[in-house]
Amino acid sequence: MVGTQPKLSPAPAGQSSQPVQEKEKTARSTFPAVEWSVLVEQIKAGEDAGMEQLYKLFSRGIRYYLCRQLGPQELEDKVHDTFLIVVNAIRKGDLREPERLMGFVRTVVRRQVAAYIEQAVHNRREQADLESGIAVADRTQNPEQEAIIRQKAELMKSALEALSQRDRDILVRFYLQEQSQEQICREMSLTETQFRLLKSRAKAKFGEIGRKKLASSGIFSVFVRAQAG
Amino acid sequence: MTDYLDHPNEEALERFLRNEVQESELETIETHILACESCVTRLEALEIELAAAKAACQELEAERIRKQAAPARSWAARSWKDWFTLPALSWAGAAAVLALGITVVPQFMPRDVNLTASRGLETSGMTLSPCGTLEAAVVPGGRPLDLHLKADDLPEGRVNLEIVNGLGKRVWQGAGLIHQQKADVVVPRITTAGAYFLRVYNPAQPGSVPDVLREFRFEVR
Repeated sequence: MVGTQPKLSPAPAGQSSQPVQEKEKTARSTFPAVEWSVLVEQIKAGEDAGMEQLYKLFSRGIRYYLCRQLGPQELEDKVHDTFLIVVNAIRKGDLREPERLMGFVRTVVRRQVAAYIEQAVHNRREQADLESGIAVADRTQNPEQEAIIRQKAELMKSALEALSQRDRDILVRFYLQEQSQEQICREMSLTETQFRLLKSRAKAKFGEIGRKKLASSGIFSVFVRAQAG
Repeated sequence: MTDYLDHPNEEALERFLRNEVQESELETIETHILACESCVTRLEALEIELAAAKAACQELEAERIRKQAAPARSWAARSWKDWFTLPALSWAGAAAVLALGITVVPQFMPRDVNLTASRGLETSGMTLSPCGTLEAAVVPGGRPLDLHLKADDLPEGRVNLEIVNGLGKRVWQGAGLIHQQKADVVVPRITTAGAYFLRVYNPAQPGSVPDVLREFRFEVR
């Protein structure tokens, strides 16, 4: 079952009274309320408003997804290609149930990713002698992100140093060795609740130390701008 | 369908970034984030959090490993001189110095020996040890000797001294001074064990043979 938090957007009937199960960080923006059938009809009719809404709705997510899967190379072209495929498919009538547009877009995007990977593998095989490493994606962060990560890592280090050795071992297993929660709980004799508690306390500590240090160093505003950007 | 509209919670997003989601959950999350700008923003922030936490843990682990390796390295790199610097002076160093003092330094210190003449007195022919037994005085080999000679009835003044071994071969020659019927002589170390005789002669006059005034017997072991 998927871990979710209550919808912030207008929810379908019967869903709005869902109780708050977990105290989670809430998303600030709302999920846009979309009339899927109207949107699909607009696209079929070739109306700019429909195209615009489709782009507005999916461009950020598709860009993020493609970047995560394939890297930042030629990202705009890939996003554009994906939209063309979605729009053409809708116009041809391949999407029979408009309310399934989100799932339809996902299917198209996944097929696109698979096609790019297949193409990269083919190119690598065919052109290995000419130019090895041609299709290797650049996974490095941009300088701004690197600076933010470095800064945050410093704060986290201070917070981790204040923890007991056992608590630190647990977090090292999770973040550094990338062990799963289940494995850590099994090997360190922890319940899932204990694990969650430790992680949330550590995060709270990161935040607390971060706030103190940033406030004292006077770079809080810069940090906020960097994160917002 | 309605599942796609729910914002995934923090843990679900974290699982997604760590590629730990099951296929059914993956479908829900992926479909949602493709159309949810706010969740993409959350994912980007979470990515930074995870990368920073990983970097922090990495640094801590590296420091821990460095600290573990540090004592071994410092022991290996430590010079013998470091043991004698004040801050580093340890019990081990102090013990080593003490042991050195106990074993080595006495080798260079003269050993006090009281000798009584075995010839030239009424007790001639009898060997008396400093302890008063009827055996020769036993002295340790390999270290200088500070001999205290009983020189009863001998005139005060300069005398000649020599030490001969059991075969009568001279091993040392020197001079001494009789004062208040005593003479103190420092003799260099004798390394060969055996019986030795210290003879006291009157100062030799030109053209005359010196007389033996006293003879002291001792044994080097």
